[in-house]
Amino acid sequence: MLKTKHHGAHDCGACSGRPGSVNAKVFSFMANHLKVRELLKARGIHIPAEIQFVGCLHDTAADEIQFYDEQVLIQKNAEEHKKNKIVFETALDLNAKERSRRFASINTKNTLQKVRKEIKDRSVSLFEPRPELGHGTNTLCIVGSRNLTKGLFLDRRAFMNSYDYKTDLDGQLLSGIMKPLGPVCGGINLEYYFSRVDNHKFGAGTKLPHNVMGLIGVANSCDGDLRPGLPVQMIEVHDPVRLLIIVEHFPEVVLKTIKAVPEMYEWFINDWVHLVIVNPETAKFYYFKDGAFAEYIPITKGINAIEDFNAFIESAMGMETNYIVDATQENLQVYTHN
Amino acid sequence: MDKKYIMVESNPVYGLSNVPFDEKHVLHELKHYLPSQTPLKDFIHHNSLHAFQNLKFYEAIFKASKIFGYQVTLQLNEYRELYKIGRIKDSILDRIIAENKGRENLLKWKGNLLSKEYEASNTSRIGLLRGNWKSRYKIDLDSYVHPLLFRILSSYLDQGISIWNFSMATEGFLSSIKELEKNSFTSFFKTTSAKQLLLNGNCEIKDLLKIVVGDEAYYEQYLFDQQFSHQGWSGMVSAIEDQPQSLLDQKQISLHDLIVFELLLEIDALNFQFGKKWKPLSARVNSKPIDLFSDVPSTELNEVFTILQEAFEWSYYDEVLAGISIEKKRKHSEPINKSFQAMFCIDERECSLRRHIEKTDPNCETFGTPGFFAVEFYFQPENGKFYDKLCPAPVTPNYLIKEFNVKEKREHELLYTNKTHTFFLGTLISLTLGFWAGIRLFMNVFRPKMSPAISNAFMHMTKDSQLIVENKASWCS
Repeated sequence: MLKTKHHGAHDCGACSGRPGSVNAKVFSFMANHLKVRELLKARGIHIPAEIQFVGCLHDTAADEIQFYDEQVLIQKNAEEHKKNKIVFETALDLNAKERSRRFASINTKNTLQKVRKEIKDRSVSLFEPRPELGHGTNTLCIVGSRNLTKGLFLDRRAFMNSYDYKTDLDGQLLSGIMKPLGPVCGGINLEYYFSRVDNHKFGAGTKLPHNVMGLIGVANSCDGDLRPGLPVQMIEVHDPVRLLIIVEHFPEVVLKTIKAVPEMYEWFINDWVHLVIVNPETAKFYYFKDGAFAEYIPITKGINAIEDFNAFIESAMGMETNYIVDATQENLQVYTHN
Repeated sequence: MDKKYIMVESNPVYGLSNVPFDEKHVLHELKHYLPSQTPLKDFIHHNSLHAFQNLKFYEAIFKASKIFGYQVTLQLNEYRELYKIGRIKDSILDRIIAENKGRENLLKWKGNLLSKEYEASNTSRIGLLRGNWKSRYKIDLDSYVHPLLFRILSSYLDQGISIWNFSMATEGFLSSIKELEKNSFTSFFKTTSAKQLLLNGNCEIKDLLKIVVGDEAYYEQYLFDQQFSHQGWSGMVSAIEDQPQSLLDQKQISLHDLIVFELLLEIDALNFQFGKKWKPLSARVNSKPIDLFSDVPSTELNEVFTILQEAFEWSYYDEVLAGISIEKKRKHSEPINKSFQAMFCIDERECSLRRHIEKTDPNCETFGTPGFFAVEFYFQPENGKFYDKLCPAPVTPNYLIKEFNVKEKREHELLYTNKTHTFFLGTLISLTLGFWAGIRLFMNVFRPKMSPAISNAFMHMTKDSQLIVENKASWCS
């Protein structure tokens, strides 16, 4: 509380602004349960006995992962898990390096180990108003196969929900996936949008002189009203653009799905989020406007490729000031990578 | 006379719907438009303009801007600079103009967007009526009322910072204030008449507005002006009224009670300043009451903002779609022997970690899904008094997961205590432990480390703790 009064805003809305560690542990317990497996089998989902689940928590500020209940693993899986943990550690090193490019206190060109330690130190330093940048820069929400984005560098701007349209041709499951996208992802996106365009009225001003009033809200120094939105330190990297939701399915199925629930449809028909459909067979795009889908043909012709990821991250431009025209240049364009 | 006042007289928007005054309706409307952010521990992101979500995005934001004075887009010069540096792409801008204004008007509108001078001042409707206290009565009512009101609200709702608890009555905020006024030597009020009104008089909103405002036709506008002069506190009170469980130490409060108390403080301040020689506000206001929510006429400047915002958005989206187009054509080979499959939260911060994991081990597979993994429940930590909800806000869980057998002890920090706020103990602690705290703070510059004062995600549930997940009885039935 002392360091980040808005820690609830750093955690994701999927768990009501709290860490999801208990959910991961509970899900793994259920998925490992023999009785659950029997019931799943009866419904046509067969999980082989040697497959086991382990829950874990990724601390996105410190870039650390903690695994739970590893003792349940059978010997063969325990050995594999040991190797997999090394993969996770290596990935966390690289992730820390990628994140470090936005932090003025860290030299991205340092060794991976040094950068990782500095990321961790920064996350617990009482003198650091930006332990991480929260949901800043969020712009996209992609519902579909990982193959849509696997070779793309999206600069940590995309919510991603895995979905295989082939298993859900009539869109029954899609409704459950799309219903929370407005309130959760759209809600996050608009909170950032408005806190960015008017930090005085929608946002919470700078964190540094914040007074915590009765442990319920913050006021800025001697200016007594509570400030309900996000502080400057969370929004200065954010480009105020609405969320673009991209769904891999057929337009008619998606149209039927969003129209079925009025609260969900309001988000789309009133343009609080954008919606584009990728037809899985023709790969054509359809943009939702005024209640119907129309084909969209991108103007951009070529996308640059990243040859050497380390060099790319090390040479990426940092913002000179948090004025939008400077700040937006820190947000990198779309690249492909191999 | 300030600019806002000139605006009323030159461009009045009369509203007759607010007569007669319907208290219930006005309170409902106020609650709808006030910020709905709950206390910090439950900070859940939402659309800041949720109250306007029934309208189309641009119509909604420009309407909200006209009523409440919000800035709802970037500034015009910022968009123009974004165009200059290529973040608004020329080809995209052309297309958006053509779609909105027709290709034949491309040049004219491009000129408007990129170089035409516009009067950018935005006079909002909110605050115009109450602004008359300053312009006509020469009194800054807010500076009299707000500091005291905020301190009292903060003390009343306090969750553990203050050393003395606010004296609580069972019927809520206003009763507690009454109780205090009855039994204290001192008073929150500077004059006796406001205090007498609270203790013995008619304290309904309508009665107090009669004294402060006078003419019923202005009541609704006045209350909006008053509550939006501190929308943070009003919004918080309204949110706590609707969701008392959002406070661990629950407090009963309502927007109604807040308005009554604020009106009493205003009467007190006016009495203190003018004695008995003041007339209600409507007696000295020339302009008619306005309907805050009447239609907002479209302006060319708003059309300019619309096109520029669309162009800024599509300049990025178009690249993303072009990228996906390339990806769709690329053949991704499925790993034959998968090393592991990992499910991540939908959160955009996992986007890069997934990429690095897939790169480090090409035989693995990663997925994204909302991070409560479709298991919704409340969580009760061992020795915890309260339940944490661990699923999206709209879901109401039917399950409780309890933690037990926690081996790792939660650390406590002796230095962080509200005992330091007291005079004698505070002095003693400052002179003894205070020096040690100073040294530790200084050391933290060079060697930052986790402490109980920092929120630690890993302590939400410790690594080795066990959970009661299974309701074994349910298998038997």
